[in-house]
Amino acid sequence: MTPEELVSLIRRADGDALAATLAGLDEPTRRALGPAAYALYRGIAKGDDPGGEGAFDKLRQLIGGGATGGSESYRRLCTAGLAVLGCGTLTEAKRVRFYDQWKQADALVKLMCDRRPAWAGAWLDHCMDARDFPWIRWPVARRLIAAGVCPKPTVAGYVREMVTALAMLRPREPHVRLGDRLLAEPDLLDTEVWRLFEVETNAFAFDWQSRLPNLPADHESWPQALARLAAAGAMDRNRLLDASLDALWVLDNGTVLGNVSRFHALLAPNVDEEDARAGRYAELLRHRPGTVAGFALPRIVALVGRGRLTLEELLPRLAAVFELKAKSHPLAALKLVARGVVGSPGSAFLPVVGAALRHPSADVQGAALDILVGGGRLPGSGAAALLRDCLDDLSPAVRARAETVLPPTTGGRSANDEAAWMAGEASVLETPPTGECQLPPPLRFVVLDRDQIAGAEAIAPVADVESLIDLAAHLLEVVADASQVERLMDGISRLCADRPTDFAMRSAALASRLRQSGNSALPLGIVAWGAPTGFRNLIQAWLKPGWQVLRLPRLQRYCGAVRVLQNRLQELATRVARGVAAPLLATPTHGGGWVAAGSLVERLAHLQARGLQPMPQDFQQALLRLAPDGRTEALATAAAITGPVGRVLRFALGVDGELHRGDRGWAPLWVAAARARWPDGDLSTVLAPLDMPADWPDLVMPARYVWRSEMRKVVQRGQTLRYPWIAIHVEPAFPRHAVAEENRFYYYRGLPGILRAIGDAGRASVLSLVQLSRRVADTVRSGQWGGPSAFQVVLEHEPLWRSWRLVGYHATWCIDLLVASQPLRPDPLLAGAVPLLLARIDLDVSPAEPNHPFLLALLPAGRPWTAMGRLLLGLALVSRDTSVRGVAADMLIAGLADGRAHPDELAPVLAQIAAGGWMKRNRLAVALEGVARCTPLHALAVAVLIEGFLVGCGSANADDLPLLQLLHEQATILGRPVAAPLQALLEPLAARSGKSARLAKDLLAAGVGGPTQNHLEARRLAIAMWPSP
Amino acid sequence: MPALAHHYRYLEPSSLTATPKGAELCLATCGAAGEHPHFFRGQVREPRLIADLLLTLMAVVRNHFWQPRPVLLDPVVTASEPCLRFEGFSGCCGVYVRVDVAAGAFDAEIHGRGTTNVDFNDPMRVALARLGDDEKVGLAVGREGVELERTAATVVEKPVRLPTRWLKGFSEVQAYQPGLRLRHECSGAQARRFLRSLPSRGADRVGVMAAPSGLRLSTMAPAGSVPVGGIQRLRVLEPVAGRIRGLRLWADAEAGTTGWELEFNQARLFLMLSPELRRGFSGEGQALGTLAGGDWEAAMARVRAELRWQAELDPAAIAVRTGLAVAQVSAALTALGTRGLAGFDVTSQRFFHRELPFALDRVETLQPRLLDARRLIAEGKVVAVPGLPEGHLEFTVQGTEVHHYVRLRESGDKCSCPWFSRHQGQRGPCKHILAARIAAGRD
Repeated sequence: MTPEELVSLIRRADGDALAATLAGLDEPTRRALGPAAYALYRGIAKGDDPGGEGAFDKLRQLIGGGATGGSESYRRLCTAGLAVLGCGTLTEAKRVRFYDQWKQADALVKLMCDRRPAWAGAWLDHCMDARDFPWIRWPVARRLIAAGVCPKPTVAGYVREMVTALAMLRPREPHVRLGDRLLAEPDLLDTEVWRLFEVETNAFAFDWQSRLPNLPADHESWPQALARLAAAGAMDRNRLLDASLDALWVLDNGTVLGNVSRFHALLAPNVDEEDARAGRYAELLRHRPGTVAGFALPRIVALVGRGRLTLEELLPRLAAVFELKAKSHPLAALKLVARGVVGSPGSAFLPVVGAALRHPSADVQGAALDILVGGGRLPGSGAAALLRDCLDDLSPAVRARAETVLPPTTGGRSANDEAAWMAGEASVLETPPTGECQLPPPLRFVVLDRDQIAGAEAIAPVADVESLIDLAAHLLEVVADASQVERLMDGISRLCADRPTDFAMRSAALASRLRQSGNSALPLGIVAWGAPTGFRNLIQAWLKPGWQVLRLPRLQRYCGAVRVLQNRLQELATRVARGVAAPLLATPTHGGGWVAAGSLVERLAHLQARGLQPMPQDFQQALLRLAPDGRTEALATAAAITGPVGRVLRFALGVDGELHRGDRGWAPLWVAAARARWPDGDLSTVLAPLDMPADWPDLVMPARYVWRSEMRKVVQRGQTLRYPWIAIHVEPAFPRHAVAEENRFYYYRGLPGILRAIGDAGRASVLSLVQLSRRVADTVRSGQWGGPSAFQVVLEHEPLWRSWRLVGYHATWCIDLLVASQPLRPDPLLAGAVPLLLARIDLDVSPAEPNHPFLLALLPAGRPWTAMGRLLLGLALVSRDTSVRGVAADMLIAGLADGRAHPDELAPVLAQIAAGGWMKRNRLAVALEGVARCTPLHALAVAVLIEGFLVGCGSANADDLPLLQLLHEQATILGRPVAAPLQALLEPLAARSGKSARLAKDLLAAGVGGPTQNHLEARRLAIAMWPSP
Repeated sequence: MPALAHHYRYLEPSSLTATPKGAELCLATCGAAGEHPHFFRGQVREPRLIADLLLTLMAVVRNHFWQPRPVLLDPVVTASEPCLRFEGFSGCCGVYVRVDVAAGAFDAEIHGRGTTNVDFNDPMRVALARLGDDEKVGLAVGREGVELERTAATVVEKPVRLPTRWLKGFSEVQAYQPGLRLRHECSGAQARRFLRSLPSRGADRVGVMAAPSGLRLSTMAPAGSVPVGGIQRLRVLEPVAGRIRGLRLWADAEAGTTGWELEFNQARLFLMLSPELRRGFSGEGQALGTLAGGDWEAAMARVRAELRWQAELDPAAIAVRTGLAVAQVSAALTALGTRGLAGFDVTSQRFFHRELPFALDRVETLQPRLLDARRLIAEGKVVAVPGLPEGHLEFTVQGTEVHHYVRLRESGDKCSCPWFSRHQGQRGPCKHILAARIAAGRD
């Protein structure tokens, strides 16, 4: 046989013919054909089918309805695979993964039976253990094994395939129960079935087929089949019991372990069988996953009850149970210990109790302490030493109990001394009456009251072109620090005209890399998908003079602060493309996004000296970043700046100049300058000569926010979905018509794109005459082309909603950049972040939607927390996203330390969020627990915050259990009773039964012993923060 | 991925067997040259603690912390009089673990000093997990030939492909340890609380800072905190949390690495984390940077002769014996550390002698960046830029699509390639810089 004949056979895709032809060949002839067969297989697998039809033929077949191209090609591929099996080496055969096991199974078996290669076993092992699914199915494998071609595979895939194949329902065949199938193949019962206890499979998992509508009445799952066979004596029941216990050690996956334990329970071992395995059950207590210990514990309890196990035997193993995180099994183990140690004076149980005292659960610790205290074991020296050793591990409430039962230590401060010390401290600190909030009042200031750049880090500008190229290349790859992006913009703005002779050579790699933007090669940098396209435009304009800056937005959606950023970038790119180098006014000089007043004056002076006008977007942004420090000093030098620019600048720095109607042309700058002086003020008097519209947010009237928490309903495909929502109403409202239609312009090259653009534009702007008229009216009212879009302070209020098209909110650096762009007025950005945060409130952390950087707006100590800031913080504290919750906790820690956060202000916000009925209070408790651990002051603040929150909610119930537990811990740490309004809420709860009721009683009794040192320390810290008169 | 074919060959599997005197845990050994040394035999005083520490070591060694890639790499053990040291390195090359068990933890007889691979297998894992403190357990590292004949166990062959980066990382991780400084220390209770508060996943980078209650996490990594990347990797320590007596946190601010030293009764566990979850210790190129200024090459042979399997190497004492300067000895020890010939113990701040049982000399020949750089030179793709001022060395290096621009400067070499642009030299020089250095005669 020649290779050409082999190819012809494969071309016919007739596996049987191929097997029959190869049957007569000896091994050397087969090996001679092997390379051709393998090359053909590889070729077809790559889509290079030598016998396949051309594109035209395929099209003709499609049109003619006789399209068989795909399946024909697949059959040829599978036939080529058979040929490799019949002629190739083991290495080649291992690379074949396509066999037509429906139509060519007989051919495959015949071929292998004829050839019987020495490597057949290794090949079958390889095929059965393939990563995703076995390449050879169970029936074929069994035929090969039965024919003696291959030994039984040793790999796990073989067992997994058995589990699936035998349990599969076959609707076209008469139903045979799984157990009967196993009986029909006795060798499976001898070997393979026992491997179910050595290999992780889904044999013992939930049988999803049991829910099928046409399930036969006598359908059996694997556990049912094995149990029936054991009951019928077809399988060794004792071996099954032992194997299932051994499997608990051999297998690793927690779910599989749970399934195997359930199978053991299904076998229902009788008393004798359990007694015979008493030691093995006891051994399971050492198992790590809680499911196994949970499976063993009830049996052990029964064995102890029957006297088959003694506590002495169990104690060495019981300690391991307390390494489980959950508390149910440790509590069950402690019950066992408690029962065994009654009246026992020995100390063998102490290591177990020690392990229990180190368990994270206060309930477990409390139960362990009960055992120590019970029977008068304290103040026994061993028990006392153990308790003392574990004191630091105990939760505050248990620790307080432990300290009362411990004998006094010698050498320490006596109880009388302690009381005297406390009394002295208390008198010094003048502790206010019990129950009163002992924190300083909320710290109130405005951002302009504080020096902002005094302690901030200065941002050094890029020095030369070489550094600029390096910086651009770096930011294309990854952005670690948002201020670097500002440095890049500034560098390009200043140095774009500086072109050394070897500029092309130096920047060639950068230009080449930039061409790869938009694909996965650059996923983290400033030209990544989801970043404003302005960055790409800017760098292109710098590298290629005369570059035509793309003006139309692409498919992405630019909203709010990102639209402002994109406008700035486009404006700068346009100037750079013209080759005009000049300082960028809005580049921050210091961390936090601030522009020093002196620097702004210098930059404007430089522009004027060169006869250049400032770019409107750039100048607005610079004014909105103007630091409050040094404005008066800067005024002296600002006198040299002439014209309207000079007047706007001096107005921003504090000169009350006379505005007149003629300044309407410069209105956006005057508004920005006014907002630099009165970020949150009413400008109706100041801007009266400009006659600006009063119904745009922050233009004349400051934006005011009203919000409400609710559970929204939406009906989709007949199903009612509910989702958490915060409805924010901004007054004055953002004029949506100003920007909404702009997003309909898509940029496509060529005639289809133009037609589409015209179509969109026509629908949006021409046909919608009302809208058009409103836009014209806005232009007339404001004197600005574009109306509200010309004013950054207005545009920042554009509402956001989560969408894959939303640009600029995908990366931490981009949000950092936005946060730094609004140092004077962060509220528009924070309000915009609310829906984004809310959309992920019940979702885990995602690198594609990193919402935590929004909270960084709350970090700088010089910025007060606004209502929107507190709302965002409250949402973050109850978020599932651990990054968001973690940053929120950090912000709260910082805010409480410097006085900007106050429970009296935060508690109502949290209560208002809770009014929506969707808040997960356990998340709040977890976040606040981390905060409370920082200092005694934080513990006190958390206690007051929880009290305020519960009182604000107007009730305390079982849902509040985590918060009540945390409050109880803080009350114990501080020795402080709960506030009177909360006591009134707790009293009805305490009258009921259950855990919450017990906790409520404990809370009502808290603080009886008076304030602790921690409380006094908290007071000392609070007094230090109290504003001086 | 370049890799070395390596054969773990054990004369028997490691096992925990029941004997009339109690259980015996025998760790099968396998040295670099195929020998099977017998180092140690002793009775374990706290079997459960030792078992849990070895299980933790096993968990690190068999783990790839950010991809579901099971790895089957065995740890190494170094025997000396004061202690047994078990070392392992994770499959992702980002976590190094060492368990030091002091001689006081055993009633023991030491048979020899040296380093060897030990077989860690699933049956042994199961056996270790079942151990309790009430059992009498013996530990043996290797066996006498006679005993082996008696057991007649089957030879265990484990052919593996050891990734070059894993081998490099395992050896070079020692060079990072002298840079670690003690940042925080806390009690066992505080350590437990901290370990139990670790997130299963979350922020890429967090700060660990001191708090009145011990240590706490901060997502902000503020001043004074220790930044840690991929802190969820520490969750591998949870099973031993109940018996911790104290925790020390070491950190190297420059390299971004952290060391977590857990103190137990007669034992210590040291876990070292790479700066980021997806960044291993290999391929960093930083280790050699620390050696750049030292005159260590001349001293290396003499210092190596002084190692002699000592558990603590005192640079001052070696300096006296060899007549070298202490700085030279220290630099030579660091260089030996990067070559797998010495380990570093942060607690004593001393190196100890051990030789990783791999063919490390071949790793040198598999340095991909260096090989690429030499190929660039050989193909004439590195061209010096003419007409530059005195002291300026600049080159163009032909890349795949474009010429890269390399500048060799006192302040730091730079290249325009994407790899350098991304890492900014934090992970060592790129192949273009290496090629330029070779062309300039600097390497």
